[in-house]
Amino acid sequence: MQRQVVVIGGLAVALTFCRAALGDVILSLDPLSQVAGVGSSVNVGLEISGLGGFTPPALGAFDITVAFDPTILQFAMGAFGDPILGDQLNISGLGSISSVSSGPGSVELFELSLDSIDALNSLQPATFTLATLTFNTTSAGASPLNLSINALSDAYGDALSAQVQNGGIGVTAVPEPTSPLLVCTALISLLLFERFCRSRWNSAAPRGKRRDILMRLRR
Amino acid sequence: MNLLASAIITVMHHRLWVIAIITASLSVVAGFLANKLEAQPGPIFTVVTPQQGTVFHPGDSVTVAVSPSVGITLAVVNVTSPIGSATEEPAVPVQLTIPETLVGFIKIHIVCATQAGAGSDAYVTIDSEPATPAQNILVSPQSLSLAVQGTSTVFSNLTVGRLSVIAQYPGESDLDLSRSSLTTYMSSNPRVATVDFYGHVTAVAPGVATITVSNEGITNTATVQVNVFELRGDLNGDGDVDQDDLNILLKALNTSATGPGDPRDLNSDGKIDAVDARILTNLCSRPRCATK
Repeated sequence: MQRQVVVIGGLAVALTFCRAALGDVILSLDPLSQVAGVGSSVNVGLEISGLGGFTPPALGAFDITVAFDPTILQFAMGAFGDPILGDQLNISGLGSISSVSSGPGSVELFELSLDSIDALNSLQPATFTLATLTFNTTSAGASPLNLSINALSDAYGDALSAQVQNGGIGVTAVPEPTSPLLVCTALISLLLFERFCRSRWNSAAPRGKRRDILMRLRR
Repeated sequence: MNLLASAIITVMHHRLWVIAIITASLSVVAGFLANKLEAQPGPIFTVVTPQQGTVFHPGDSVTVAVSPSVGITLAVVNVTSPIGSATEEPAVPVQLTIPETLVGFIKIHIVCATQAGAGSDAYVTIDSEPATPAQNILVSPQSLSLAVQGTSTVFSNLTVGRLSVIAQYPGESDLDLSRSSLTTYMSSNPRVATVDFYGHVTAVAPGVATITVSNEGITNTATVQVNVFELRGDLNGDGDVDQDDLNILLKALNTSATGPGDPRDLNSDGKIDAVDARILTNLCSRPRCATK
């Protein structure tokens, strides 16, 4: 009896997760969380997944608000479309109507496809980036990035329901060193290390011994 | 056996008594607690100034004073602009200044509170009207085109427009009198279009109506043309669905529908949003919702 209960419970849990993983449209951020120094700019992708993938349902319009902590982040800009796949609400080149409205602590992204139902249903993939948001980091702390759906429509004009996965950005007080600075630091460290080894070698081993060591190494 | 039965009955009787005593005690305690927890009544006060319906002029100073003032604090909140407050005891009169451009009724929310924190409030409505009559009034727009949806026999009034009334004064800046209590609106044909106290015009049926606007003896008119549309998504009633209709819908994005028959609420869910916009794009007469 106990075993049956455990099995049924396990199945229920598994089915719940399967449904969440396979059947639902999910709005999320990419990356979900990241860390940056004060004074830098951070890019976050707004992604949708769980669509039909070249079959219905396809996305026809979206209106999403991203809320953040205005004392830590400042919204800089928003670019619609997937960086690799292109704008998936403008597949056949008919265009789309889009707008970005930002207020203190929130930014609203709206895009409406002018593509036909058939074009969206047959050409749109299941997962793609809706827009990329750029924030400037203004002070240290952790800001959530909370998504709220004002409206989500499929190609036909039926409301789509979706789950949201919120994210966040951590901002550190000390700015992270830039790449050229990191390379320079590494090169200088290598140079110092090499000099240190050479001086140890010269002082530690007399000339005859050094030759013997080298001969042994060659063998 | 009889003895046993009588013993059980006696115990049961005792139990009932015990239950009755406990219930009575609990209700007494509950009543006491309820009395203790009940909110303290707020102070009883009367508004000395301003009196209800007093007419002021834009730019005037309004003194908000209450009686009695000792033992309470006074705050004036939720007034059109600006908000004043005084938290000293006794409650000092609060001075408000009516903005130079504000004409019409102003509702003032007055809140008084005791030291213990209990509060009560009152509302006073005053009127702000220009000190001198206008030389001329302009009605904008002069021509308003609205649309109704329906058949030739049954129409539902769907679109609403707003008239604004601008008063001109010699040597002074213009003033918006749209919400002035002295401005009146009248429709020549309420079966075509009706107009309310604030100049909102509602289309009723196809036809033409003239709206006459008056303020202190000066009149001007605006013409309202009401068209009929029977095409779903044709929000401007021009016989096709295109970008112009989409723009009308997008202007109202994320707002509530005006009612069950709002033509912008294409899925009839009570709100105008991106889903309605997508439905409208599918109804467009030409690709890309292009205009003619």
